[in-house]
Amino acid sequence: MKKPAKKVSEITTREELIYALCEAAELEHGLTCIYLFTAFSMKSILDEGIDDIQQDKIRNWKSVILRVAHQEMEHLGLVCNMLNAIGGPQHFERPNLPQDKEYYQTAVPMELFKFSLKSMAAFMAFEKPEISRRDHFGIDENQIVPTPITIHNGHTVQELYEAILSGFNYLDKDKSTQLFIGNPDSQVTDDDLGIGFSDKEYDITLNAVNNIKDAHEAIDRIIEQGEGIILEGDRVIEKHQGLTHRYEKFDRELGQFNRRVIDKENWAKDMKSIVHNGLETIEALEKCGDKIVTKAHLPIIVEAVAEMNKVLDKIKKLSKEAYSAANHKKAEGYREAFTNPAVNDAEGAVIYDISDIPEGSDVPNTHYIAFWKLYQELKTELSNDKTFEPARNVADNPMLNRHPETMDAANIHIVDHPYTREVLELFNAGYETMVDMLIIYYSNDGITEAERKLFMNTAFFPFMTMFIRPVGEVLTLLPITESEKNPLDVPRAGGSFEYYLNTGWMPKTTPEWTYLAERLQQLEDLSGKLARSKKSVKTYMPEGNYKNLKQQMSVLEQSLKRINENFRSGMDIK
Amino acid sequence: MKAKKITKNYLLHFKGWAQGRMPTDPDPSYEPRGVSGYSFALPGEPDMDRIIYFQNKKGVIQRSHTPDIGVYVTGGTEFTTTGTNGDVEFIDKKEITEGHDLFNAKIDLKKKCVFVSENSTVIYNGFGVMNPFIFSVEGKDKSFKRRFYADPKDPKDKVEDYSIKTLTPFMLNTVFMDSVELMSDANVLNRTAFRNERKKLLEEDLAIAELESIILPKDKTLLTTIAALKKRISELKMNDPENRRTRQIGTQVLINYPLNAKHAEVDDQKVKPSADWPITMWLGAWDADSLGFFVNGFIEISVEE
Repeated sequence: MKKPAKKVSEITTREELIYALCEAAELEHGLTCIYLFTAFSMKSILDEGIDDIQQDKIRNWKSVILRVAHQEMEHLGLVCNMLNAIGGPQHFERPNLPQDKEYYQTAVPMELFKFSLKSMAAFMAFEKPEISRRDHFGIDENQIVPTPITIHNGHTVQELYEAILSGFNYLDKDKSTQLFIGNPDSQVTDDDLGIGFSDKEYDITLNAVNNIKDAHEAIDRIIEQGEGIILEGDRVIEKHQGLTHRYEKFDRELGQFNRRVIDKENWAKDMKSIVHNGLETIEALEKCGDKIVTKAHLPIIVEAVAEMNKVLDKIKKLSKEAYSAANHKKAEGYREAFTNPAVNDAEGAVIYDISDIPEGSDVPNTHYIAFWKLYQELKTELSNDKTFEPARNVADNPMLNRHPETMDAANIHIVDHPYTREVLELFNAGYETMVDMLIIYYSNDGITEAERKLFMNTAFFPFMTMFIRPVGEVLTLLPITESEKNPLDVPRAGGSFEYYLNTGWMPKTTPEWTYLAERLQQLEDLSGKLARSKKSVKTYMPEGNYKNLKQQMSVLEQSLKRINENFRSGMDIK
Repeated sequence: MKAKKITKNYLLHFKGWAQGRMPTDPDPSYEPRGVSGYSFALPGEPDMDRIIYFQNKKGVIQRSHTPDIGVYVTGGTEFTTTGTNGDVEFIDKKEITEGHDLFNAKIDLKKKCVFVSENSTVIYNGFGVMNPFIFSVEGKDKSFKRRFYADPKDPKDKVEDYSIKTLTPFMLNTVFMDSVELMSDANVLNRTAFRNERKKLLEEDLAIAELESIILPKDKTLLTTIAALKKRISELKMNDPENRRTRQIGTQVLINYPLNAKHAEVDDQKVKPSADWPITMWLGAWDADSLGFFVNGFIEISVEE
């Protein structure tokens, strides 16, 4: 879906709305994979150089990331319901990772990173609420073919959903269009999934979308969980108005500081403007500090202001020098350094208060705040113990292959240890099989109720819990490459969620059931082979981890055997 | 003339708290510490072993302010019958009260019994089958032991080797989500108050531990205790009646397992009973903090003399 973004207005046709929802589906799907990868990279046993208190901290952090990932899956489910409601297709296709900032015009690249301050900062950027009002997303008017809606410069996931919401509103009011034409039976709800007594069971709720009210409910839920901003009409409810306005000023000035063009001819003038925006940005952040409610967070703002001042002093000094290509490059470097981790951290402290966290709540109520809190806790832990490393030595973007859309990506590590490659192959094949079942399940196109139930009972529990997670975790124990000298120091692999879309085109009818049964058989066979040949990686890990690997591979073989048997029995395939 | 068959019967009522340190959905079945479910191994505790303990023995982790683990015979009837089929008659009946060999007898599950569902690969998730189910009654001078199989004609050690169809009749069967009977029997009375009462006690313990840590800031045991208390308190704070941590306290599941293995043990002697020994019991009051649950049931043991 990579196409140039352009200045746009509102969504006014079904096609445009479908297009926007497909983009939302891609993002939710991609973020789920990214979050899961990071969660799977976390250490779990004492043999990994952590004490029992650190082990508990890591466990809690992991549970937060997994909870967010589950909610991203819920969001994907809600988008599926919205697509079904308006007659759209199920869209599980997505580009392979890593993807640079330009792909969706996100604030940071979409990459697979282990758990660290860096990954938490990236996650905050994905989930950052859009508090300042900006131009809406949409489509060029008077066009029949949609121009892609992308998260173009400075825009966020939140604004994509706001555009979708306004599209629903527009088309619902348009009397010439019957918007909700989908089959209500194709909607997936909590009851279908059997996920408990209420949304408090798993923090997950899927509502059916059959009318405009349902669409509002679904989008509000997605935005509230992610960014934490409640929409009322087109306005943000601002409980902490004074702080919000100061933050808006900060955000605006920082945006101008970052976007201002530096031109050779206007060097002095441009640099003067940048210095001006920089000063305004710092002053606005200081003023946020005056209004901040949670006073314990004030030092974070003070630190950020100090860091920004340091960089701005360098920019001021540079602005007095004459133009040169080297100085231009320096200026860009300083500008990038101005928005440093301390500033992101301070933004989080301000948004924490604006987000209106319930008093005494230990559970962050939005994804953004959840990640900001993890960032804080990890920062504290690292300052107490410089040797603390909460994640395994997992390489960035450990992939089985390069793909057409990642051919030029810089930060890819191709896994070449033979055993690990086979486990990663198993993971990716299983992931793709699961996704294919999800497409069939959510499409609900001409399949029997019993078949649909079987797909649900295969793809959710147990495939996500007994395949994706254990294999994703096992991969972070395995070396990406062979080494006889320092086997313990070799970087580790991870679940790369590579997607080949081999079966996306297949008709979702009975011949594919046979294909899927064959696929499950291949997975079972490969897992059996891998359970027997694990000794080849014994020297690459501490004894405790090897014990863990042995158990996981043995359970995996059993699980796949049962999944395969149950599927075949349900579909009456020998 | 052939002598009439005489059978000694024991209808025993048993109850008490049991423990099962097991991961909960959506954690995989073998998650050792608990991550995304609502059950956890605390700092300083060993990994969760999934084993169901009816007695406080090695493997049980008895957390502070939680009910003592132990399931015991609390009453019943000993009676003798004669005859077979429609011809059976009582010879005698005796209440099992204090002083009887089987009063207060220990009820135990031998070997390593676990709830097997393996996230729906074996049986529907959350409705596992207990396996191996080797039920024992250990009185002063009297003991019984026998195993249940899902298919006694084809006894398999691993429940995973049976089909879902064979296992379905024996999966946990939820009868009530808000059972007043269990609230009374387990002395829970009110789900949220039960958890809040525990939380208050732990908060008092935490305050004391934190004071001690001012004097001993680097005491590893103390720091571990504090981390464990904090984790328990933060979990107990999630106390909305609809939250599964709280909701599950009121959930009552029914189990009907006939002890049907070909052989049994009576007073440590191998015997071959001619009839199954039926068990009807409910499990409930699932306490996410203690990882305990209440057991209340009956067994009928019949031994031919």
